[in-house]
Amino acid sequence: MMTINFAFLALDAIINHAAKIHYMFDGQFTVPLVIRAASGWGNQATATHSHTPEPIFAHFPGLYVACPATPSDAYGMLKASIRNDNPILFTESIALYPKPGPVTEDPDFVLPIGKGDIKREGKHVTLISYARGVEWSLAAAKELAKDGVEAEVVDLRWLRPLDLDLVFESFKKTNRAVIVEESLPMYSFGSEIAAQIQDHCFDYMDAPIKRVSAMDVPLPFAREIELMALPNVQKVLDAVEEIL
Amino acid sequence: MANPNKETLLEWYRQMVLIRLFETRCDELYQEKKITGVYMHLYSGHEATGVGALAALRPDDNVITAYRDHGIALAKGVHPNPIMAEMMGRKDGVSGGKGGSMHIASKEHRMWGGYAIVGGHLPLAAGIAFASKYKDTDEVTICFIGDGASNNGYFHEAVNISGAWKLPIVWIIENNLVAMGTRVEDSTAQPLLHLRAEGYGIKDGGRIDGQDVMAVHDAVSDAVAYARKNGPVLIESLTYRYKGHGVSDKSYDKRFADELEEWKQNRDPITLFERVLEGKYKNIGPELKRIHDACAQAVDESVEFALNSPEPTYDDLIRNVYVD
Ligand SMILES: Cc1ncc(C[n+]2csc(CCOP(=O)(O)OP(=O)(O)O)c2C)c(N)n1
Repeated sequence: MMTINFAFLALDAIINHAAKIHYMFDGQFTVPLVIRAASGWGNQATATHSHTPEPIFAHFPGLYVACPATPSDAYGMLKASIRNDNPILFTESIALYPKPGPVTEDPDFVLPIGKGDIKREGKHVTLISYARGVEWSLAAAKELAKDGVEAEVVDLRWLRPLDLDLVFESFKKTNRAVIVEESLPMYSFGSEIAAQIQDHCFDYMDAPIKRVSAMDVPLPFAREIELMALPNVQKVLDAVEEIL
Repeated sequence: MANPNKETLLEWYRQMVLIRLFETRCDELYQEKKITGVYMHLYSGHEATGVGALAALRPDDNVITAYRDHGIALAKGVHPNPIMAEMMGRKDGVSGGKGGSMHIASKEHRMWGGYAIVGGHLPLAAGIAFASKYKDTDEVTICFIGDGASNNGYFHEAVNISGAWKLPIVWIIENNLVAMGTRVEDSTAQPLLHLRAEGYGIKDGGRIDGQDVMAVHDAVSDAVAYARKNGPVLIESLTYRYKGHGVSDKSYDKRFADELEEWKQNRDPITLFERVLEGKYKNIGPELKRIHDACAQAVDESVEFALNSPEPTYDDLIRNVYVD
């Protein structure tokens, strides 16, 4: 798919059909489908062309959602997706396309489905993210390190299956978390993760869980106000400062 | 057949030249980074279709189109100043700088907008036409459609319902032979797109020469008269775009170089119309030149206006998400 914005025209096919057929017919059919879609805002693409709607798809059982943050992850996760018999939405952050990184030549390099990754180890605060949010989180962690704050960056890689164990493990170590997402704030990745943490790690919480996301508005064309509406490294730093 | 007088013909000429100069300037402003972003789709090459078709409408008739919309807005009478301000994302733009190039609308002019999701505006067009009928007005709606858009599901649903409900609408497919880089014959087994009318039980307005403003006006005038009384018409207007799909399309000029050159040399709508005017009226040259200069000045003024308009602010960012 050229961009994920156009997936809305195919939502019925994806959600009502691809995601349901295996269950509805009690396993008689499989839908071994991988839908690749470029995702994300930027460069004044305006309200209809600036979506990062991965969480909408992750809402529905029956569909897996892959959101890699590095070229190597993209390679291993795409291999895994193609070899898997479930329908999988595989999103690729437009903003990450021009950022190179090492990729193995091994044709059997396959990353496990639903397993996240610690992209940077730390002990004072956990930054939980996926796709482009990982980039902001890593940049923020680098800044924080200058002040002696060691942030752990958890890259979930998959919105479904969701690697909650990895989140809980990190949180139990740091006792604080900021969730960083490119997408909208309501009914979001951030809402889900925050709810899961308070449920499973209540005794480990030293501060409220913070979320950094896009503002709750459609994206406008004009550059200045578009940037105001979007997450960035500074917003991550501000959120960390609030809970340290 | 309509027989427009000299004043009318010169007005069409003015509009076509204004669109060409406006679009050419937008292209330059993009290179100069005064217009920014990733999307801007120019109407250059299509002028005769937009101008000839909209000349068949009354001011209270409606028009709606896709993202290739600046020329349509100009032809519907929207002033170049607020269009240019929109191109630059300024507060005095038609959409307050929030819509940009792909979302030029002016309610006052019954220009319902440019829309960026391919085919997305077709159901809106059917809805506008439905409202005209429901409210017992005799307004007509023209909906411009790309050849590519004619293959998307929205097209079938909207055109079908327009036929079932006999809506007062003229569907005009602007067939410029290519959708981004995909040629019509590679996406469509029946490349005569107007033949689809029969499948929806609506009037087939035929395939017309979209570079001949007089021919476009004739055909669309008949279609509008028919739509006002009886129901929908589908017209296919054969045209050509002079620039890449949008500003990010860098390969078009090379890929289609020969064809492009051929259309520019032999089928340029403005040159063709100049010839008609020169044949019809002796020594019209200086008058055409005056019109051209006035358009150039209007474009200059629009740039000045846009550059002097403020940027939208935080208040604009959060305004109009909902009706207050
Ligand atoms: C639903 C959807 N799919 C894909 C796109 C990307 N896209 C934008 S314009 C375009 C080509 C449309 O071509 P056509 O309808 O012929 O109009 P033209 O650009 O030639 O005026 C495509 C594929 C989109 N905007 N919306």
